[in-house]
Order: sequence, then structure tokens, then C-alpha cells
Amino acid sequence: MTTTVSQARQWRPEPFIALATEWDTVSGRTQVLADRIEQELAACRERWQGLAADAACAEITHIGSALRNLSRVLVLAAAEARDGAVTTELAQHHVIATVSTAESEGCVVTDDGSIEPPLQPTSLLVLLAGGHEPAADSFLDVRATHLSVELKSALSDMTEADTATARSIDTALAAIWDISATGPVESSAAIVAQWPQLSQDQIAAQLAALSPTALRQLVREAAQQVGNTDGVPWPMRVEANRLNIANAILAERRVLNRPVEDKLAAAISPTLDPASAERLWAVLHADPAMNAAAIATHDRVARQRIELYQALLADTADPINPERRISRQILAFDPVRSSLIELAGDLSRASAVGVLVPGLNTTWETSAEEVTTSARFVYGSAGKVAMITYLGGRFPTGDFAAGLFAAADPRYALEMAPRLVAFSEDVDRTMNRLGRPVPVTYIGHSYGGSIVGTAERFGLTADRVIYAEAAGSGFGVQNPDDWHNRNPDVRRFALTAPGDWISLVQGLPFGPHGADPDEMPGVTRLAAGRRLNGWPMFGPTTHSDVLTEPSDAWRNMLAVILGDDENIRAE
Amino acid sequence: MTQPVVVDAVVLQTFIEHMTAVADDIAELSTARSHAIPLLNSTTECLDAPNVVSKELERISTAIRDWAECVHRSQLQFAAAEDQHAARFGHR
Repeated sequence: MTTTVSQARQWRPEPFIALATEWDTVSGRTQVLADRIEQELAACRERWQGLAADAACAEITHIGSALRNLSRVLVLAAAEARDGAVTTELAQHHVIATVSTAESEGCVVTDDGSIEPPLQPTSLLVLLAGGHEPAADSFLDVRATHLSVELKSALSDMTEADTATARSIDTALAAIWDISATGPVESSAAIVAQWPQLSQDQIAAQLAALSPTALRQLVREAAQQVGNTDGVPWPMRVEANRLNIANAILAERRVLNRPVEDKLAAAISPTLDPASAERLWAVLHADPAMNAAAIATHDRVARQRIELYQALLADTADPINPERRISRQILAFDPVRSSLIELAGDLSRASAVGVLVPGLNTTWETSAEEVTTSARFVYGSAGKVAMITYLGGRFPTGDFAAGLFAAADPRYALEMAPRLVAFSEDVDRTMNRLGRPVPVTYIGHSYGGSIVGTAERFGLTADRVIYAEAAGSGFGVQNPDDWHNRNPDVRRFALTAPGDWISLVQGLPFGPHGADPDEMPGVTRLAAGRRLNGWPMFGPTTHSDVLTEPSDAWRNMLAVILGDDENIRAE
Repeated sequence: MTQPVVVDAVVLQTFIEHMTAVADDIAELSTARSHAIPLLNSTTECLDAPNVVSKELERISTAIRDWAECVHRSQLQFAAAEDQHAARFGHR
């Protein structure tokens, strides 16, 4: 049954949002209760032993696991409910806009979406039709038919959005029963315990031999390892990382669900003298405003993180068709290592892949900007390019002098480069399995240039590398022989727009980031060209503009990623 | 029997009571949800999801309560057996 116009008008997103909010609350509460079962069990275990005790403890542990599983399922189902609200509301806007257009043109809109033309054409329309009224009538008929088709399509989209939401929520909730669907397979712990000793190819081969049931169980029981290990097929990583993100949300909910007294105690600095601490404690209990402020301060970071993580679980605009909303593809999610890797675009149709390694001041909180930058390449290539945004660890951060000081520290590059090398091997194997040539370009922007260069020194696998406004060619890289890319045919490019401050530190003698990539033999220097408005790409803002503005420089980089030699402009 | 048996009746009774309280809390969540969550103002069908969640909460609550009762019975039987054996050896 298709949605009618009156139903579309009456539809409201609030019930979806209310449902999501309820499930978020329940997920936090069930987690508290699951924690309580675990803690109480641990506390009494020493005083309760024997075969019967073991059996009873195993049973209550299993029940506790079901409760914990329900917490996680509710976080994911809440995300689906929120997505449903957004998607259906977008479809509703389309319906209402089309109805509004039709009515403003004097058409009659019926509830099923049919649109009748106005009874009489306006005198202006008759005039435009050369004074021929039947011609004006005919024009109105065509226009009404066109609007009717559009409205019926919009109503159909709304029905589909609503149905898809119900389906997604049902699918998310079906995982409630996963906990009891464990098959007779090798334990997940035993499988992942072998991984540190296995090569990526061996891990891939091991997983290829497992049944779909065993793989599902592995994702569920070892999501942390599955989501963050190179060699694991990417669809599994994406699936596992949804669970990891849900777990991270629950970890933050645990902070929010602390007893109020604990939150108030956290507001009292341990450096306060006992008398002052006691006075503050009394004020926190007596003054409702102070009480609320202390609790809000305690909860602030956890709430911010929950918001960030919920955004990672939420659907996003498809960079190939921004009107469509799709799930995000998170290839790594590890808050402990500050690792967040995301794929944008469709690998099944991409003819090239880019990996963007950003630079100074990149944090999890600002990662959405980097993902948007990556997605722009996907959109700009009409989906021929798929992009990976690589945050493989902590980046240097700081304003002004502190930022420059942090950026001079090669530690971040040295820590992240080996991970990038391993990831590049995974990317290479994944591309090889696509059964068609899909070249991979690594773009190191700013400090990210030093990370990519250092990774090249340690054995990165790449078809092409772009050093974009790069801090350097990599730690310890003074000439091309210092790079040990596994691909002997790798092509290297560098782009530094005139007037970018980075040129002041590139290739400094005894500098921490190696030689200036613009001056390295064998590196093609890309022309920065002109901005969108025709002005030369020049000045300090070019440092970021080359990536964020669809300029000559940006098109040059896109041409490199696509391998479109005819459109690569060298200096 | 291959391993030592330790049953601290006081500790175990406290644990059972706490688990029963947990079961009550879960049941409360379930009851609250089934009333508090409005049905979706859907353009097609009503979503059964809130009921699915409530049923799972009820199932877990019942499982914990059953478990607590079972452990309690087992504890009583264990104590009774102890008493019986003690009596056989003339300690009562």
C-alpha cells in the first residue's frame, strides 16, 4: 500500500526519535544491571564453589551475556530508528514540496497523488501559447501529468523509506537471539589468539575456510580484533566495527550512569584542603544550580563522545548520489589507539582508490571534515574513485606555536607509519581480489606527507603517492633510495602551492621530516594552477584549500588518483 | 566428586536476593517500556519492535528469577542433606 498525501502530511519523525531515545536509556540501564550481575558473581565466587556452583555460575553468566547483548542491540536499533526518522522526513519534504508546487500552479491534488490541471489556463499562458487556448490546455495537461508522476514517485519513496526503516529495526533486533545461536565451531578466542603470529594472507585464508555461522559468531565475540585486523575481509571489518562503536557508546553510558554522589565527588579537586573540600561538598548538595553544573561537567565529554559515535553509526549521504542515504563503512575503530579508518564510495564500481592521510590538528572530533574531503573526490569522479580516510593513530595538535612545536615531532609519523604499511598491504590484497586493476594512490597532506613518506621508507605498497603541501618526504628520507616502496613502479607526485607556509619548513637541514618532496628526483611536481574563481592558487590558505576547493590543484590530484595522465598538469 | 565444595549460606543467600532484585529491575524496565513507547505514527504498519524488546526483557527477568529459585532450592536441599548426614553420625 502506498502512502497517501494526507498520511504524508500527518507523518511526524518524533515517534522514531522517542523510540531511539527510549532504547538508548534502556541500553544504559540493562548494562548497569549486567555489570551488577558480573560484579556480584565475582564477589561471592570464593565462598561458593563446587560442581553445582560452577553450573549455576555458568548459567547466570550466560543470562548476563544475553542482557549485555540486548544493551548492544538496543544501541544499534536506536541508530536505525534515528536513520529512519531522517530518511522518511527527507521523503516527506519531497512530497510536500511537490504538492505545494502543484497547488501554487492551480492544480487539484487528490489524496492518491493524482494531479488534475487547472480548469482554465491563465490569460498569460494563453498569450504565451500564441492566443491558442487548446494549446495552453494541452500544456497544462502535460505539466499536471509530469507533477503527478513526480508526486506518486515521492509517495512511493516515502513508503519505501518507512518500510525500510521497519525492516532495518527488525534486522537490528534479530541480533537479540544471536546469543543462543552459537554453533559447534572453534572458539572465537582461539581463532583470534593465532592472529599475531599469522600473516595477513594466512588470516584471510583462515577466515575463508570458516562457515558463515562461524564468521558471524567471530564478528560477535571478537569484534575488537575482527574490526581492526589487517587481513580480515572488509565487509566483516565494517560489521564488527558497528558493534565496536555500539560498545564504545555503552562504555560512555557507563560514565553517565555513575551514581550522582560519584559525579559530585569528581568535582572536588584532590588538591583542595579538607576544609574547603567539605565546604564545596556541602554547596554541591545544597545548591541545585551547582549540583546540576557539576553533573553536567562530569558528563560533558561522555556526551560529546556519544554524539560522535552515534554519527558514525548513522547513515550518511551517498557521495555518488547525495540524495540517497547509506551506511558508513568503518574499516577500523579503536579509541584506545585513536584509530579510525573509513571508506567512502563503492568498491564494486570504482576504477581507482585514494587513501587520504591528513595532517596537523586531525582528531576524532574533527574527522568528519576529513571524510567530507575524501567524499568530494568520490563525488567529483562520479563514483569512479573510492576514498579511504586514514586516521591510524594520534596526530600532532595545537594552535599556533604549540601546533608548530607538535608538528616538528616525528614521533607521530614513526608510530603511524608501520600501521599504514600493514594497512597498505591489506588494501593491495583487497584490490587484487576485485578481479580488475584498481590502482591505489596515497595522499599525504601536510604532516600526513611525512607519515606517508616514512611509511614508504618502511615498505608501503602503493601505485601512486601524492605529497600534498607535505611537511617532508618522511623521517630519515633524504633521497629517493631511502624510500622502499614495495611497488618498484610507484609514481610520485608533489604539490605545494606558492605562498603556503609549509614551504618554509620543507627540507630544512636537520629537519625532522626529511627532504623537500618538491625537490626529490623522480617526483613529478604538480601545478597548483588557479582557484575556482580564476585567481591563482596562492597564499597561506592554500595549505588546506588545495584539498577542499574544486580548483586546478584539486582536479590535478583527482587526475593522479584516476590515472588520467592527459589531465595531469605538471609544473 | 572431584573438587572441593564451599557453600557459604549467608553469602549465597545475599547473592540470590540481589539477583532477584536485578530480575525485578529488569521486569520494571519491561513494563515501563510497553506503556511508555508510543507506537510509530507509521504510514504503513505499526512496528512490533517495542514489544519485541519488552518480551526479551521479560524473558531475561524470568530466567534470572527461575535461576534464583533453583539456586535457593538447591541450597535448601544441600543444607537438608548436611543435616541428615550429621544426624546419621549422631551429631544432632
